[in-house]
Amino acid sequence: MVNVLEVKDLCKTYIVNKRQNNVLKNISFSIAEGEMVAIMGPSGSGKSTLLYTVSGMDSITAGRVCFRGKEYNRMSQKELADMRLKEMGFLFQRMYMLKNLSVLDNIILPAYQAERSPKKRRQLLQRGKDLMRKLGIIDIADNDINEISGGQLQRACICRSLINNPGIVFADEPTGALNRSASDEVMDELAKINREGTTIMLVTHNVKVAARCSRIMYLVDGNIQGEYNFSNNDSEMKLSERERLLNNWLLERNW
Amino acid sequence: MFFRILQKEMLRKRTMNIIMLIFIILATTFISSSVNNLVSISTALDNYFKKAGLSDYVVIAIANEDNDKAITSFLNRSKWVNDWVLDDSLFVIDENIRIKNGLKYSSNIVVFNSCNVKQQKFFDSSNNVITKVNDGEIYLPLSIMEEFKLSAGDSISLEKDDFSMDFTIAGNFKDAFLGASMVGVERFIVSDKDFKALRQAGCFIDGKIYSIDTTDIHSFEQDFNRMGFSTAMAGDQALIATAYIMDMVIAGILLVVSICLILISLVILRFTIIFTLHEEFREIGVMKAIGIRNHRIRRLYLIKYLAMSIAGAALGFILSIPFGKLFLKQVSKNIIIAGSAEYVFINLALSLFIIAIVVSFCYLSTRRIRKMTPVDAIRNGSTGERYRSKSLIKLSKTGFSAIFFMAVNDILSNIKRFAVLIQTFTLGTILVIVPVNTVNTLKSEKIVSWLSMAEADLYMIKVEQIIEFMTHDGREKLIKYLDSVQATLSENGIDASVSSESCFNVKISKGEKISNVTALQGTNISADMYSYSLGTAPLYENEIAITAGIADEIGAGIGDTVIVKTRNDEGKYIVTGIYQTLNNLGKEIRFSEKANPDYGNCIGGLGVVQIRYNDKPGSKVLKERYELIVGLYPDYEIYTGSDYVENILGNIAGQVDAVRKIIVVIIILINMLVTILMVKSFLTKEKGEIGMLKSLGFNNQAIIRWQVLRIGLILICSTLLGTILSGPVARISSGEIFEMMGAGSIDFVIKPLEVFCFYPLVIMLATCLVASITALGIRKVNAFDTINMD
Repeated sequence: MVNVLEVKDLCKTYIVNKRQNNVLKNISFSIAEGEMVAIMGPSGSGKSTLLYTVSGMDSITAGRVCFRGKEYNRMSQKELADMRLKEMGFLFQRMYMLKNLSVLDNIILPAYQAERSPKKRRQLLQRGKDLMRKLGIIDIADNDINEISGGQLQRACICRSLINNPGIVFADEPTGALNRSASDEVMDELAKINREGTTIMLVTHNVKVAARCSRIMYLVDGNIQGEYNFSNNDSEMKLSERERLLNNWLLERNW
Repeated sequence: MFFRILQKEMLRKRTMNIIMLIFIILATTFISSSVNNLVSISTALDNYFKKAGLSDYVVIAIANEDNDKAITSFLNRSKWVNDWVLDDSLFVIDENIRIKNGLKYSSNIVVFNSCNVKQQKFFDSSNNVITKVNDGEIYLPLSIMEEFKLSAGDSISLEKDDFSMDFTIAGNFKDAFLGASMVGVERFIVSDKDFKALRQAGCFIDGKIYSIDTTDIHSFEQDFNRMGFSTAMAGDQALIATAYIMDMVIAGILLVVSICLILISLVILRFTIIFTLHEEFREIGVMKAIGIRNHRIRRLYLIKYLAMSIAGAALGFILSIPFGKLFLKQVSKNIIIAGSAEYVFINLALSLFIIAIVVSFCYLSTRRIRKMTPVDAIRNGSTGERYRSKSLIKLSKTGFSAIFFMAVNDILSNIKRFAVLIQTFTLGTILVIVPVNTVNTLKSEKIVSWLSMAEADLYMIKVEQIIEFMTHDGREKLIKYLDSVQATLSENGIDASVSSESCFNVKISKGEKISNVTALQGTNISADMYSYSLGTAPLYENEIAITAGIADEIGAGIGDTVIVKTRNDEGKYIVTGIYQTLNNLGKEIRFSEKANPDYGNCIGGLGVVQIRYNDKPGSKVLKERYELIVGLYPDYEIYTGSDYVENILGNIAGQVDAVRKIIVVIIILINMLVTILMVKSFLTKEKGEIGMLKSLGFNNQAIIRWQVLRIGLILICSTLLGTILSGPVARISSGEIFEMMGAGSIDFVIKPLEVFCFYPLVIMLATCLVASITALGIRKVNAFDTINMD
């Protein structure tokens, strides 16, 4: 499998009140195309920082991050933004959307920014509708975002993250603000998208969410303390069994 | 604990607190200085006349033993006279005055006085009373100093036949009686000794100035007019005040500016308080959740806003004094205006008013804290201002780019949020366009027709020549003279018609009502060449046209018969037309060309010789002809239409122009400042949205474009709105003043390129530039700042 994302000796340091805070310390890993990787770890371990740095949203202090062979250090801010627009998708814990746009307009907004030609825009508009239909929210296309539920909103965010057909979707606690059933629905959708070939890297505290991933990286104090890989055979396992295995592994790491 | 929260609160929301503070400073500065200026300007002339000790009624007459005796006797007998004084004067024709650099001084008449007249006080440029003028020194009006670029220390000489006297200019002075730009007479003041020497030379015209205090000005004036004394000029304080009307054009513009600034300030202040308090509700919710009591929370914010408003109002109060002075500078050139220093209590009171507004707004807005649950406060914190965000247009249904759509949609779905910008930009546009149109109108040749003249290509003036026609057979002499000019022009290949206007001092009456007016008669020009607002031109010997001002004063209308009385005859005339004029303060009548007034009573001419080319020459030929005519008549002052207007109106257009420049600069600065502060507010409020857009892959340029485009679109709409509204505003500001001067229906001269393109473009460029620079602040927002989003 081809690696989509390659991270080598990644360091991230914040200086707060003249004190150096090393959030990420020499982290190295790679993510292959089609993988679904979860980052877990205690609060303050650097999970979200790792997600933001490898997605190009935040700068890196040292090390190397490559997405599809393009090294972030050699890219300008504009190129990084362009890469995020056309090749990456994002999901956040809270469902951030522009308040004065309809749901459909929020979804197609990145597409309209990426494409100028009316013909391609028409195609992307159709794709936006198709995605909404696929995720079961086509009925709320013209609704304002304050008129829909959290689960619908997160599914709309998933549509938006997929609108430009990205190579990878980064998700920061995508189910963190949802109830159990909405959370399950959203994870079902993400798993489905992953099965269709989209690479996903997500940060979560939720074992149930992480159990749906093929690989789990456990982060403590800015270091990857361990990795858990579900074997191919495990994919046939029931979700509850996967959760049990993962829980046992996490307990060994004082989770 | 309480003060620690307050301290943290101040530091944590630094940007918004600074924005709030700046707006309080701005509001205090604008409101304090503007109200101060409103009071200063509205009471300016009354205070000035009082300070100068100007009498109720002033009469200027050429010295004549019989006339002097008659006036003196009348004043001693009149039951309406309280007290009166007499000052000797000298009337000097401009031909006799030489400026140091060989420039010729031109005006109809200059009055020379000693500095110690009984009539009134004179003031120097620092508003100090002039009590002494050194021998050999002279004080001139500011308009002359500016026109000839003279300064203290320069020289000026008086020459007549073999007599010559040199003076050193001591400076300019303010003259309540003859200092107005619309008074065609100017006054120079010298020392007692020099004044005596000038009188003794005997080569200038002796004059008298009577200053009369009355018990009933109206009754006195009626009696005085009935006596038929020979006077060069006579009028009460109201008439003198009307002569300052041109100076008050500037004052009128400044009043509009002041009112607009007050409106802008109130709008800005309201927005900022609402915006800032809206931001506080989350914290209020948290404080309630941890058990801090309502009155403690409310007190925290009241103290915060009280502290900010005191600091802002104090700084605003200090700034309001120089800011107010900057505006009054133009108006106070010619008159004494009390201004900021004298009315400093107004600034102080208004600064306290601003503090009260801010604190009461905060008090009212935080009233809801009591009823709110912590969750309500966190989720729905509202200050009573409901911003409904509803998408009115759909990206999927428009052909717009994402950025343009976001900008348009932001404005349409929440127009209230941009109300401050819309109101500021609209008022700013009005403030720029009104003075620009006023200046262009004052500078246009069109104004000639409002000065009781038909438009001409050239105007030739020679005061000594006018005197030749002031005889009983003056009309015949004038016709011959005009024919000779026309023949000379014809010999030199110029096909032109040549005409002239003569003026007479007459009394017009209908029934008991009588008025002193200037009468005009054109020679070689038909009365129907002038425009009339009602009726038709006087065509026959017994027909006249009168101005609207005179019609009101004597109660005459079209078709009425009035009596016109000159020094030695009187006649009945039928009013055929009503017209408007800025000349003679709107009080004037016009004889038909066929009428036969006694030219022995002629007091002068307007423009003397007016030349109209019968062909329509291009600009090159116009220039060549001008040079040719200057060569043919070297003793004359020769003006083109616009130069003549400038000569007549003095430097008023220049002064309005100077005010316009100040206003344009101030408006651009206000627009820039408001834009900076609004964009900063937006950036603070939209940090989350910006972060989200960045995370979605919108680059910095795209986000800056979004921010600037919103400002640009608002600016375009506001400029259009301002341009539309500037018409009615001009009519109720400058137009009102023109109406008071006698011109009731002024069509403002609008230069479309200047008004609709140049100024809007300059304002837009400056505003968009600062919006772009301020929007660069988005570079500091990170993609992961999305977590700040509401």
